[in-house]
Amino acid sequence: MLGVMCRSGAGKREGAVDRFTAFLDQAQRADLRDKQAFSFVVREGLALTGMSVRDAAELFRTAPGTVSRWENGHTAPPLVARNAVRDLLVTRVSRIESSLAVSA
Amino acid sequence: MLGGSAARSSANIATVHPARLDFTLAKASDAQAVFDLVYLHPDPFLRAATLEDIESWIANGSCWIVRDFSGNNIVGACNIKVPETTAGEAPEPAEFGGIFIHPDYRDRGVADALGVLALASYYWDNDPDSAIPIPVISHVHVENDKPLKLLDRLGFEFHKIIDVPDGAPGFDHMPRDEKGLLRGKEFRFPPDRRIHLFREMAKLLSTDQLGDHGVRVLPALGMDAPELEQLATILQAQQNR
Repeated sequence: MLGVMCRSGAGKREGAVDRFTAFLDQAQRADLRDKQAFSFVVREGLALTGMSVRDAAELFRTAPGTVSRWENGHTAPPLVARNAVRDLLVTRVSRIESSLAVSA
Repeated sequence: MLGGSAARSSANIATVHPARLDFTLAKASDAQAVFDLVYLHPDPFLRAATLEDIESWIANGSCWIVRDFSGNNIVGACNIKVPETTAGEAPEPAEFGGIFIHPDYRDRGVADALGVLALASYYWDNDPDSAIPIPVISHVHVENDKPLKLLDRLGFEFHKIIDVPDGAPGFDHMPRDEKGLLRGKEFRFPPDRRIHLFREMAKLLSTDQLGDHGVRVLPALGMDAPELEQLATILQAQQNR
């Protein structure tokens, strides 16, 4: 995460913004009935927000081990919970993207 | 599930019962109160854990608690350890670590409600409609009969006797047999039992009273009674096929 956000240079910053923008687009269009699509949203969302599985577990009211299962595509919760997880990640990534876009 | 099912805590908890109990997931700041509840009592099968052990429960597992809302004290705790996984490796089973209830709050349905919340939340988060979910297991020393009734009530079934390897956490202080071996009983939560579990959880979410206590339940993300009923129906249909 720090590698994404703290690299110096406008070009690199714009590249980082692109990654955030791409995630937001993909996450909002993802068909979360697909467990692997959910896995991608969790994995990339955690990478972009810099959250550890422990941080994420607290946010998602679950165990860190469960978050790592989601990240690795081993398990997933019901669709209603997948949507809630996606919404929480999108909100956090949007905030970071906004601050990056302003500074770029 | 290595120790007794309850704690005789010396923690200063009001004996006048409160208007409301909150069932929720513990946070790091709850570690000391959980430690007080679980470990300040004599039980030969319960190892003398440290505060750091409890902090690890909360940080690495899901430790569900009951909080006496009026006194802000923790009066119940249930830990399920979910090992972290890596890509390409099969996940290990989760381990049910037992339920601890303050003596003043026993025999009121609190332990069963807490167990239902912990188990239903685990299965909710981990492929709830799968025919072969990653199981929850529990280990009990062969001479420790105290947890068996609770495990039975929750739906666990005896699976096998195991030889506990040297150095296994939680067993090192326990009695060994004449050959110097540590023996444990392994219990498993059968997948079909989720039907009953989800329906019990739906009931818990639909009530605001448990005995003479008001209750508020903060379950896993997105969980509600209609979704649980739907899951139970799906599992029932799978079972009938």
